[in-house]
Amino acid sequence: MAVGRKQIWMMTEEELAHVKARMEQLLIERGVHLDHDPMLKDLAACGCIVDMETKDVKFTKELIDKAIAAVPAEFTLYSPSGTRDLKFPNPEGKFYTRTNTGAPNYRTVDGDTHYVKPEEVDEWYHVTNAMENLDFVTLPSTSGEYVPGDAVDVYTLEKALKYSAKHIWIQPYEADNVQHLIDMSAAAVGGYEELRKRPIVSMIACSVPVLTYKHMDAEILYLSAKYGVPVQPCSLPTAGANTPVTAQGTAFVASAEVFAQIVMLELLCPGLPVIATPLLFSMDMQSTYTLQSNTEITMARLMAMEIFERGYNIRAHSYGTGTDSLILDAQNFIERTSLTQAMALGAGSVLGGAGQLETAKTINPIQLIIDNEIFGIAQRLRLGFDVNDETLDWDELIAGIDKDPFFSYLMSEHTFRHYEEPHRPDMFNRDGVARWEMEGSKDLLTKAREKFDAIMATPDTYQLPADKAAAVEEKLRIAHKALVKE
Amino acid sequence: MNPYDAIFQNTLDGNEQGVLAACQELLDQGYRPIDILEQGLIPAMDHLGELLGRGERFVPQVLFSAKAMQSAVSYLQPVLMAQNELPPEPNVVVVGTVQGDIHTIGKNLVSIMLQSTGSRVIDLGANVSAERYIKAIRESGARVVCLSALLTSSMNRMRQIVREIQKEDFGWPVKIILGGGPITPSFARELNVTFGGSMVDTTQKANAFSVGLTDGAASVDR
Repeated sequence: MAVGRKQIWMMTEEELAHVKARMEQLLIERGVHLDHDPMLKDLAACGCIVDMETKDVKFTKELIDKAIAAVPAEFTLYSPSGTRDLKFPNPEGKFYTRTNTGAPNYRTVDGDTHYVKPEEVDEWYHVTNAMENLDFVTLPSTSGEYVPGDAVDVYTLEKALKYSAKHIWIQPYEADNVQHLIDMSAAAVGGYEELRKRPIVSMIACSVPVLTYKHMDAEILYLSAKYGVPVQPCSLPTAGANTPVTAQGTAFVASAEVFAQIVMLELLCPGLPVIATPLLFSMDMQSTYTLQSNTEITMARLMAMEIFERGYNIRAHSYGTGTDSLILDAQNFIERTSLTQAMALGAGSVLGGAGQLETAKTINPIQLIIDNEIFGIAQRLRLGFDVNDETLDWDELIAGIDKDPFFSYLMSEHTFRHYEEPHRPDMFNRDGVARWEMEGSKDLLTKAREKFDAIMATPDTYQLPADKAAAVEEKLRIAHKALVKE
Repeated sequence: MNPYDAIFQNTLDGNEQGVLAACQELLDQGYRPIDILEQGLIPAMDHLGELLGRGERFVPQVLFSAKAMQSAVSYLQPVLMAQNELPPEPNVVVVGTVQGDIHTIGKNLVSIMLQSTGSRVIDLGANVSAERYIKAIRESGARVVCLSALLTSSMNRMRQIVREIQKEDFGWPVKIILGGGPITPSFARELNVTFGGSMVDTTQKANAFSVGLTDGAASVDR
């Protein structure tokens, strides 16, 4: 496989240095607002300038430098199955991918859309386990109609721990639930120390623009630092609504909010694995609808990835697929393919959002299967290629091997060495009309549906061992008793 | 030439100083402030709403126009009071983001739009409990309450709050409008309340209900 990766940068070195300096200045002079007294006290003990009354925190340049120096250059996010552990940086030069998180709606393969049901969570993990280009998963947002509304996240995590072969990224829904989510994850691997050594889960914590962290998200940061659970700290700004309307301004604010979380985490728990996760949106200035796939916001994502990866050598993560279209139409595939390809050529280490429609509000297994295909193409783009005499086929050309009337490139030694290299998407048509008609004139959606049926007809490849599953269930019972207000 | 043209155009353009200057000019010429309001400012905002609906204006333009109109109304208020010509009592609308959620963008936009179309808005902010909504409705006499949520996890809380409000007997009908990222028409239908699909849609539905009240024709959610 080729290794000559080509990369696009959105900023000159001078611009990048300017953004970094401004970001640090923001943390030093303006600081952040953090609604969590124990964490405020711990940050004060670390040397931060903390006002316990206003709950504002400021940082010094020395603290920022110390925290950033503590970010591990290499780490692993583990998988429950042990078969999909994710080493960072990716040793093959690829990016990692994940499913969409937080969508309340599920669109079935038959097109029915409704709030996510528990059995659809099972179905979802059955499909994600089978996706070769999908590296880790999130929690579909099971509806409070089907599981207790106060404990949606813990009930969904139980399913993820039982059925997902892949690393799980957890989005807690209530501050009180965070401890229980960690307890369940620890039960799945055999204890808290084991979870620290082999984190099969990582956490989402989100800021509220600008530079505010509500209690729940502060609790996520605080407990993740306490238990050594990796965090992929997020910022989800909407350009023009709660951050500057310019893509650059929104990338800057989001990056600063993520950066502040990383600084706090590394001060509380030096060496904690973190992945900077600015997930940017923009507001349409006519409909006021929040957009995921607008062109400028894709450029903002590229800029944010660059701030962390190139600016600080910190791994970064953002949307790599998705659409504002409500259905599987041409807009959908234009948006998600252009987004994926742009991000593949950027600096991000993780590209997310697989399976989503409708600005991340709906997930659909057919879309997931097609995203798996798009990711395969994008991975090939990410890897780039080498340009040298071997790839130019210099030796054969200078020797004039093609002058032989019986020569064909099909028979050349060079072809024999390289013919397997082109990426071949699993479901794409690569033949003429006659054969296509003979095989049923199937389009991509039909083939994706067939693939779905085949996956579901095959027994799932992973299930948590029974003793660990029982331990998780016990923790779920405890969580239910503590959280659910009957 | 229509004497209110300058008011109309400056309001459309969001030109606050221009609107104030035009108001002063008409007042100096002896025009009644109530006419300036009803024939200049309000038609401009109505027209702007139409332009926005047709995709011919952008939200920031509407907000600047709303700001210009609010300044003009504040400017005219003392004259209106002096002439004992106050406009009709405005509709009162309670708005807030439900408990467990602190996202305020959509809620704030709805507040601004409602104010710009003449409603008095009781903005309860974010993380609002059922008790606070109920208290605000009772104290203000509001006939419309708008509940907003962005987080999927807030929908359950929203459901509980709606049921609490529906249980209350205010002594007058109260329309409940739900909006926000994860909220769908079917969710609103399930709770027997109204779905607000956007800032404009919510404002129109709130205003239509208020108009409907005077006609005795509005639907009632509580």
